[in-house]
Amino acid sequence: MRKIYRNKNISVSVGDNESVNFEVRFISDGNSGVTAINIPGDNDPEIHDFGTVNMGTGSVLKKGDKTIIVSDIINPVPEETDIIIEYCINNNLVHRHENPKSESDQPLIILWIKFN
Amino acid sequence: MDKIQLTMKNHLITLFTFVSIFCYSQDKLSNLTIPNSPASSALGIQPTQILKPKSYQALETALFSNFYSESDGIVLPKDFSLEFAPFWANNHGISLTEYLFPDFKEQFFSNSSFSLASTQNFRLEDSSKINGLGFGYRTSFFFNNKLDKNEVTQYQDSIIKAQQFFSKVSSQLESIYPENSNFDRAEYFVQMESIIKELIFELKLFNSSEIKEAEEFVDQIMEETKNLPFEKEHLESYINDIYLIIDRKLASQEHFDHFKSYIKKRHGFSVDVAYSSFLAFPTNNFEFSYLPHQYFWITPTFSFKNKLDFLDFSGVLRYEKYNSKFYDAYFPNTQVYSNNLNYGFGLSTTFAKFSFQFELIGRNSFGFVLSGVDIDGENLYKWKSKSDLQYVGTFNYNINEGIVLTYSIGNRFDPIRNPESTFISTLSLNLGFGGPDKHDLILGESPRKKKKQ
Repeated sequence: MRKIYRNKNISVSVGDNESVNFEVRFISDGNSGVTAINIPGDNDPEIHDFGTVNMGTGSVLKKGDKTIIVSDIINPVPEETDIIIEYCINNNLVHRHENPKSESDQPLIILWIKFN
Repeated sequence: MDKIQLTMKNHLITLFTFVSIFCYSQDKLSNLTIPNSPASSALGIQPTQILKPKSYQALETALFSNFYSESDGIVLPKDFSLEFAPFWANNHGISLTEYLFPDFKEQFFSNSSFSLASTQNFRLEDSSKINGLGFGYRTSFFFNNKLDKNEVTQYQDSIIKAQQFFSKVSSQLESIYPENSNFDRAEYFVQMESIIKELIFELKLFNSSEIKEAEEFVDQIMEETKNLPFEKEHLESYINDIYLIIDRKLASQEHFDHFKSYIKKRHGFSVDVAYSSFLAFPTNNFEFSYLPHQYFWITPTFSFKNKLDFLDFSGVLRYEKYNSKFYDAYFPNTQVYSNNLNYGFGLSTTFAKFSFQFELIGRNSFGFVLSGVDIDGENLYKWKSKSDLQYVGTFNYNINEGIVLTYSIGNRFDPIRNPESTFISTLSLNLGFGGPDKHDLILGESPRKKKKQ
């Protein structure tokens, strides 16, 4: 069942010259998905399943009102009961998403990140 | 004539005997079958409940709440069965692709499960009931093949394509998320249409020859969106409903549902391997026990593709080792062979709410059988062998999501007790309630409250 989880209040402090890496970590088993990252400019990166991408420098990210991250996830594995995904910026956990599959096995996870 | 009438009457009585089996299963009821863990198979019981605890803590709670009594200490519950797959108690972060195509070592560990069953109703030859504690292990292996890989890849490709589009559209629509309920809806729709059209082109959601289909796709989304009732106090729900319209047009739910069904029944060859045994307590004293028999079995299964994809073919090879000391002592007038080899096959098929299974199994029994006592009082044994046959047809009807009606008819192997009674005719009603997991079990009441997670 599809369900949308929106998290509007994430803020992260980064230095102007700091290179910012964004990482998606699958914690529970059998997840699959695409994460789209909407940053200022034309080069929006995306992550298939899990991994790390570079979002640019702190000064560029601070220019935008907010940075949007959207993960479209499925978990069709019968043995797994939960969907647990962690989002990290420069190896620091910024959000941990957790939902039972009985609630949704096809969540759309939306993060609004304010860089300052 | 009287005898025939009596037999028919017995059969009719048996036929219309309802056996309600209340079972707990974690799978949805479309997959509900009579629970049969290796441990409960060793005891020959139909367990009244199967627990599949998800975590070590839940397993511990299940064991203590069912096997421990404050007044009597350790007790064996009546007809209880529990199956536990340790691999799935922890998170490993494996992706779907890793789950779908594991190597043999990974399959061995991830598919391993241990089972425990107990009964207070194991009957000896003199009809007295004793306690029995069954334990078992099983794992399974799926052999990767080209047809399956192509099928899985097709599902994954179509789902990823929809996910790419939907996550990207959503991320761009979030950037124009209204600041308050007094936003200009007409302007929002213009921007939304522009975003969708741009991404259809960028992500090649449609082929170049499908321009008309692409236009219809956008038109339908925009028409449904504009007709969506707007309530100022529910802005977020309104925006979410717009996203769900786009998602429905992508048919991602349908693709995902088909994919989930396919994963549960993949084309190709798989082998299940299992072992089970049980401890019998003939004096109902924990200090004195026997290991009456041990089972080891291999079940190869083949699921067909294309025109025959409604059919599953299974073979079975099962070796049973009976402990002659136990049977000589507690079944003195019954011929029990120490070695039994079962072999045969089964076919199963499903049509909408109906499913049908048929199995034909042969059994070769051989070993030294008690034949008398010599003048010194020593038991005399004779090497003997025999063959018999079991054939059973089972019809299932899913009345609704929670109830399955099952009728089985056929001939079973000569049972140890009442060897003449081989006719099977049972009507069963199986009720499923969804499985208890760590959230359902009353963890706070565990005799051990320490948290392991």
